[in-house]
Amino acid sequence: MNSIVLGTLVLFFVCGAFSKDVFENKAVNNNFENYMKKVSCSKVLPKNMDAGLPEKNWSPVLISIPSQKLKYGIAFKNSKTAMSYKIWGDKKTVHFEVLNKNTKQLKTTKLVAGTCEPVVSTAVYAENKNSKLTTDTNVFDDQDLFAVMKKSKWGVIYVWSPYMPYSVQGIAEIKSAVESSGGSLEILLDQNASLTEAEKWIEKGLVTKQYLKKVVSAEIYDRGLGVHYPAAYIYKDGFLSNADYVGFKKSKMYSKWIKTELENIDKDLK
Amino acid sequence: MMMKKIIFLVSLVCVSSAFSEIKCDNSVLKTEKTYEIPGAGYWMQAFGDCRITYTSVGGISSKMYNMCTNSAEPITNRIDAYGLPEGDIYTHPGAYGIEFYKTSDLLLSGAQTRPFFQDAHPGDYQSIGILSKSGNERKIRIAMGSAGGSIKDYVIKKKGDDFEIKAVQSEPLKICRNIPSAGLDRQVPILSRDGKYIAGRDNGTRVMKIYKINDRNGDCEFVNEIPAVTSKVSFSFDKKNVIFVVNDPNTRKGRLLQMNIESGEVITLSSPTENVQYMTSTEKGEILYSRKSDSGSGATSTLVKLSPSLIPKANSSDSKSYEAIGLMWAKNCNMQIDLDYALAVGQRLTDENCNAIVKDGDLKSLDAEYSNLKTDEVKKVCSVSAGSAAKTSGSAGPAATGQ
Repeated sequence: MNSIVLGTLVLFFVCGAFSKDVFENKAVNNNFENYMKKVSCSKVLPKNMDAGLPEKNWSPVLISIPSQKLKYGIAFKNSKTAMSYKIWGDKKTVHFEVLNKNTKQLKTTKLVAGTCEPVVSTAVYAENKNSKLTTDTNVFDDQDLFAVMKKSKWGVIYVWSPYMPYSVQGIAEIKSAVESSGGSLEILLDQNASLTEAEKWIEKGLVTKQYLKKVVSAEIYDRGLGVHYPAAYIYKDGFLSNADYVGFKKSKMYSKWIKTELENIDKDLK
Repeated sequence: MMMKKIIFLVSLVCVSSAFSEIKCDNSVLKTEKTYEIPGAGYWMQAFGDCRITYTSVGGISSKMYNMCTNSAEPITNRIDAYGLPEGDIYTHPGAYGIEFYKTSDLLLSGAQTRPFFQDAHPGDYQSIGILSKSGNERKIRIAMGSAGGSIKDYVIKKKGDDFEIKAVQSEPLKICRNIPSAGLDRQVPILSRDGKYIAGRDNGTRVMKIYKINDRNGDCEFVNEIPAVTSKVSFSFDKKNVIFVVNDPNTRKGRLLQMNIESGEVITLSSPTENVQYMTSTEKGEILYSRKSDSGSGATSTLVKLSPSLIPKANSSDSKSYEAIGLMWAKNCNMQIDLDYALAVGQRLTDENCNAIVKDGDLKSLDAEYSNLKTDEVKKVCSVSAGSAAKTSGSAGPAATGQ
């Protein structure tokens, strides 16, 4: 009788721990609005942008320009149209950069506090080829990403690391959430990981050889990959969400995330 | 005689050329010490004076490394160890709740050690702060990341070789339910060392925010934010700073940054040659961080220890000189770096490399604000750092593998 009670208690706490996990996260992305409070010419800048851009889901971004101070801005990338936008600045100056990856044109509009008269400059975009840090050949690059996004209406890219046990546990959870919702799933490996270490998880039966492809996609790296695993990205109609979703979640949480993010993508695609 | 003079002069030239060869890898950087550790060092926590705990590979378990003996040590086969700074007790999250282990038991029984105390505070991603300390008694706070975040406090009394632990609250206190997102996202909350603040990622904006916790009702008051997508953070023990890793937008490597919590000022601590994976602060004010192995090994990482004097500072009177040195080094190495990296590199170069840069570098080729600096003034900073004479990349011996 005591073991039944104890077992029930343990089960209660285990289930309780995870059922409480699904709290109602009411997070809102107001990055654009918040950032406008930090920069000059915040009323003029939106007039120099395409209509609807301020309402998109912008993400924080680091701006590293040679021989200048590191800056903190926001970015919005549209993988479907191959257009990327960045804003950075302070109370004296604000820069708005538009990159057209198809034409390789980089257009920067600078607004200085006071007159806020836009000064536009253009340049040819030099692609950053630094996303591949591994010598391994079994990799998932931008070409693979666009092929996957073309093949499926929507899906998830899930990146795991052998050094983060929860990211291994999370594979079953994301599989359950995606497959039950009819999407596609790519499970990829942190490119900094040792394959030998990753293969140890195959021995445990938690990972298959198919999950050993290392992610080197610049598009994914530009969306914040690398600071935590697992990291999940969602795409729909060729648009890769600007936001990653990090940390271990149960499938119920992933299902909620999928629903919310697909709605956000619809907003970003307008 | 003439021949001897020629040989002597040629030797001098060769030697001075060797000294002025500027390297472009991690060997140019000053460190207190480096170690090769098995694994990647993720979720690294300093544990006592000598040890770190971190995540393991190939199983739901942790790893421990002893920097004083330069060896891996066994630790219990449970996930995500987090120890008290005194080094005598550590914790694991378990299915039942939080489990407490004695280091003395661990050193006797190894991986099979059992917890000496468990408490029903279920969840994971735990972090610990010391609320107060007096004699043999400590009051600690444990934060859990799951279900929006919760805290629970414990009083630990040392009685001889044993400890008596009592929970202060009967139930965990839910925290941050008052913030716009109605709670913290569960995967990156980290408690400050004094248990009063918590850092958590805002799942809407994706920036890391720091809050002050109301002890009474668990409400969180916004203090400041890191305007970037970051790893989990580590609070310093002096309560002034947080350190964290970001994905560098150019190199795409891990970049180690530090933010002053009050002012929000952010500085870079690592070099563009480093691919930083994880970091932690120690009670002595040191910073420990892991980077992709200098040896090129996939199975190990290089653990770097920076003593307080080696940690780059912002806004020193010599900032321009350090930036100039960093920029000249980068130019020599065919790199283009931002000023934050330049400032960090300038401060982290060994004296030998610093002097070589100043000797061979071309100040005049830099922008006006640097080209107008006097070489002697710039050269002065090469020996300014406290203890700089002894500090080079000192590596420990090979680490023992396995547990």
